[in-house]
Amino acid sequence: MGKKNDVWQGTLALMILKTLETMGPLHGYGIARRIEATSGDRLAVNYGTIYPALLKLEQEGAIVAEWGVSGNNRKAKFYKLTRAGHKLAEREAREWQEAASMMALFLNPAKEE
Amino acid sequence: MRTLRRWTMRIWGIFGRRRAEEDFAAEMESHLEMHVEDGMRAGLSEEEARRQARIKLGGVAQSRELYFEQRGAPVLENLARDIAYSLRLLKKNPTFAAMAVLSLGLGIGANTAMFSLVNAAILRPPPYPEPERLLHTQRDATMEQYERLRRMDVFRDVAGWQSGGERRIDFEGRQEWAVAARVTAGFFRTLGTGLAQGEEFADNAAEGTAIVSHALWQRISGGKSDAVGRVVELDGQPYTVVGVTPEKLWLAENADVFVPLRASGSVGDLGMNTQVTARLKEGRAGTAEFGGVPMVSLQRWLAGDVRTRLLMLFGAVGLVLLIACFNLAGLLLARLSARQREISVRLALGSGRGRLVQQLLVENLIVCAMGGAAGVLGAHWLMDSLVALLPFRVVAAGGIGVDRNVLLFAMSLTLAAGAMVSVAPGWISASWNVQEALRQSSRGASGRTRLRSTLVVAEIAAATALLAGAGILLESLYRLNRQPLGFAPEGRLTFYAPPERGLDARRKQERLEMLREQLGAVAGVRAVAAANVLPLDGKNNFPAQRSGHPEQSIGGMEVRIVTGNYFETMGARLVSGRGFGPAERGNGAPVAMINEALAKAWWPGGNAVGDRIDLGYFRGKALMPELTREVIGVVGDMKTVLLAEPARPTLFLPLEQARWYGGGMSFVLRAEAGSGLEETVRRKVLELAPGQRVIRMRWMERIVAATTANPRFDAAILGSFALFALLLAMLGVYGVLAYSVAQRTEEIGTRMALGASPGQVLALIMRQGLGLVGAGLALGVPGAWAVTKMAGVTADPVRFAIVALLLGAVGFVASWLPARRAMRVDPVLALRAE
Repeated sequence: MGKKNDVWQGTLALMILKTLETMGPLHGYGIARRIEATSGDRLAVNYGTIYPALLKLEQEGAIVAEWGVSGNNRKAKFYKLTRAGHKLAEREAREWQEAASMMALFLNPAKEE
Repeated sequence: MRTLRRWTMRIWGIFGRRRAEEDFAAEMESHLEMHVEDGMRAGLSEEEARRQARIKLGGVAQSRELYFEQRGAPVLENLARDIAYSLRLLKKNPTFAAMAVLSLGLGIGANTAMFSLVNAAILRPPPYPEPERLLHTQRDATMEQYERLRRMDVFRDVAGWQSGGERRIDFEGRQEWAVAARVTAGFFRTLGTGLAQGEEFADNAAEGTAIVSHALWQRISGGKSDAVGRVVELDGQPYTVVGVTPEKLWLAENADVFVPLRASGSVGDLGMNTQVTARLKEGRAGTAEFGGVPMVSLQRWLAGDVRTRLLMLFGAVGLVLLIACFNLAGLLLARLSARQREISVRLALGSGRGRLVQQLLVENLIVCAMGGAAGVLGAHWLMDSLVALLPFRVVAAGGIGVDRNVLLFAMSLTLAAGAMVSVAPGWISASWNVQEALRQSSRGASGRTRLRSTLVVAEIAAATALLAGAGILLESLYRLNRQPLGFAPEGRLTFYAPPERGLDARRKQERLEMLREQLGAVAGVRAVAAANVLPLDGKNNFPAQRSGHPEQSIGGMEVRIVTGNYFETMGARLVSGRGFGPAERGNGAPVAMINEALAKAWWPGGNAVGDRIDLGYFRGKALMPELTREVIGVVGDMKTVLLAEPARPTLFLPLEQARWYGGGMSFVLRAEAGSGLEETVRRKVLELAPGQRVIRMRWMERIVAATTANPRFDAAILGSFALFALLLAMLGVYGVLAYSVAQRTEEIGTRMALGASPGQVLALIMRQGLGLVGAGLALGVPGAWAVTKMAGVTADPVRFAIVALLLGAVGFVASWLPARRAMRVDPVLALRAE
């Protein structure tokens, strides 16, 4: 696991949190599909990588998992945001935005003064 | 917080892995099925949909690995696996394990024990409130100095005390002997303990008042709670109890009865017989001279001389551990070489180097931890017997033993040892890589031998230092034992008869004469003499000057009061003049005898006999005037107070002419060491003089031996350390050479095939072994030399030559076996083996 992976894991976690925030409880497959769709298919997620990220969030108490039944009557493990998860999503999003806007400044230096 | 939670979960995750695996498999399964369904709904065949779903999911195995790495704590799991593996390895090689654990256990145990002593005697402050503010006079002080210190502004409290001998205490029919102390006003306030009951002595405390210890009061009163106001008898005199000490009071000098002490305002105040403890005022600090009286912290004073000796032994024991570590590191390196093939295979199969190193470290730490545990347990169990073996008293409040500090010390020592023994193997493993490891197969790199050689050289250097140290001590012990005593200690039984209270001096002396006569009749006893102080058994000082020569004065002249036959009985030599005889009985002229040391000091011309000495005078001043006595004889020097110093100038008085003397006397019986002589004598005394106590019954030889107990102990300890170091060094040399011979079998075979004689091969290996010893000596001798100089001992080249010879001999023996093996290498076999 290199640094790059950590960054990816961080962003992936935020994507998962935001997906669960908008979609409500969802299984791993659904989350992966949704992330792909939201990114306009620009992001080709290797679906397998989503599970370690889910586990990490679960361990942190941001989400809880529960076996349930999917829309087409299939047994699936559903993930749901906890209250801590909501807060985490908010905070991470804010931090990410700050970081992104800062990065933007670096990449497109304002042409003032 | 989140991290903490995650780690807790992860550690939990180590358990219940199987259920989690099933759960994960089910989740993957459901994921795939959903994906396949979606694919089929989009019009793909089931087969194609499944194929795409699998691709999209990525390597399931990889995800799984990733997942479980996230789930559990791989570091910890690996650790557990490493520990199990290491234990298995150690079990497979019990000899190695036993040697390693034993040598480290010895090293750490000895260090732990020594640290317990240092901790108890030096580091731990005395158990009084704010001990850092307590000072004590560096040397024995006088009451006059006590008075001076008491008036000083820096101190809040100042207290003096003197030992008060043993006293018989009587209370309501119970009787007991108790150690007494004379203490000034405010003694317990100064210590900060106060009293449990009653009040301390006031400045003008009346004689006839006493403070008793809690324990003594409990024993003698049978547990009565109210002590204050009751009357006890001390040596038959009534004393009113005014106070009881707290139950948990600790005093360096054990005392159970305290009677008042105050300055008398006479010359008696000038006697150096007082200990002064003082408590600094709040905010005052430092130890220095106060009004011309040098003071040290109470803690430092309590440690006393023991401090230097303990620190020396502590240093020696540290060297031993260092050697044990070098040795173990060498052993571990050897093992590493033996396991080269296994390690190569594991490297080739893709084991990470980090993991391999981790496993090695775990193994080393396990060995060290086992050694450490063995050492601490050993120290814990053997501490009491160890302390009993110490010839010197270690004053320690709260006992000596393994406490938290000692445990912490032992643990850090274990870790340090673990780090030390891991440095060399770690060094080697840093250069591991797959290709090389495979190419080398089982043949070790020469660098490893070099590393082991370095370790052995270090071992020998440390052993040199220890040997040199032990040599110094043995030498001084030898010199001490060869000191002429000036008397014959063999076949002289001695005992001390303390003065019985309630008798005047004259009656005491009559009783002594009677005892002397009667004991002479005991079977096997040839002569009985007595003296107030025996050689090497104490001192007794009195001022004296040469009559008419006040400049020739000795304030603390050693004065011995002896029976007429004392010199003859002790086997001392009369140098000139005559001894005490019947002329001294009755009203003979006052006489004295002197020893050679005094004769040489005051009469360098040698005409002492016939001259006079004023007893009780100092520099013309009559301090405690006794008589002017004529010197009638000079006796050969007998050791006086210490074996290590020349005899002190001594004045002998005949008992018959010292009728004022009412102190205790030591008896000397010249006798055959028959069975039960001691018991017979003891019983005889009790029979003849009921109430007379007989204590410290010893043969003179034991008294002499007791004076060398400390140097003997030091020499024995350091000597055994040095032997241990020598043994380990020998093992080290042997190990390196044996390994090297095994490695060089082929080379040796080639040499022999090319015509080298067995003798040349022998020389080759011997040279290698002696080279190691030489290098060790080259490092060790200058180091030991420097330390010797630092210790203030003359660095004797002969001593170092002996050390070098000894180590050389050991190196020779250790090299012999491997060298012989090399000599017997069969060139044909050796070359074919390749």
